[in-house]
Amino acid sequence: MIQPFYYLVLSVLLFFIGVLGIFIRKNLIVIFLCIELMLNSANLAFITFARFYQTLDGQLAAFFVITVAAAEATVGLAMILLVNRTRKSIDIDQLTTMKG
Amino acid sequence: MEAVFFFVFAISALTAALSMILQKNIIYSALSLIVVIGSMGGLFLLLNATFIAVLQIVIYAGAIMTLFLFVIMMVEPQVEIKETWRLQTKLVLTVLLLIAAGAIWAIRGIGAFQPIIQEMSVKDLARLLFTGYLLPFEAITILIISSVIGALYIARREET
Repeated sequence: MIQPFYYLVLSVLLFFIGVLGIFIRKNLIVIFLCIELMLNSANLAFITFARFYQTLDGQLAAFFVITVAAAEATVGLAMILLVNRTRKSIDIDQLTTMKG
Repeated sequence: MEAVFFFVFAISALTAALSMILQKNIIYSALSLIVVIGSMGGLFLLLNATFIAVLQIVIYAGAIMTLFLFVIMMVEPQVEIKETWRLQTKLVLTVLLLIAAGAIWAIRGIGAFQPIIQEMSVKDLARLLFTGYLLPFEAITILIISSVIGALYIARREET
């Protein structure tokens, strides 16, 4: 039987990899993918605790996180398309002006 | 047997996550994230969350990542400037590493999983979702509709 500690360590490591990706990458889409990775690692922690306390509330929290991630992905990707159309670039270092 | 599955899924999730942030081609990054999501689905199955595992595969790997791949194909390929490890970045990352180590230290004595007393089925999940969590559920429907309308509005082409 695998201890919950291992699942939680895996969740922390995946979250840290997501944060690392946000810091070292300049591409807007990769940063977005890193956010999805961090949401996923939070889901793993939720479901580990749902199994640990033997309730279903943690699983429902993960369910809500997945739905909110879907909503966030649609709006975020639309914004990335708009930025790419007006700026011809999705490099965050070049998005410096507030002027649309 | 469970340990074998756990380590296979955990190692594939970690390596795919690292490959996601280190790949230069963003298509490969998105495909690596699909591998991470699939491995997470396997871990959810090991944790007795069958419905969430199915949702993870269908919604995340099926719908969201397809959306990502479409958008990646629609933006022009970028020449990414080599990342610079500035002093601030290193400083922030050190602090974050300490926080991660602290989090691992804080959960070290959590104890073991108890054997399952009563099996939780999808029926129980649905009953809880439509009774105790009805209000968040309805709020989620409004959120999804407004996000779809918002996405259509943001991504429309200007009439010139």
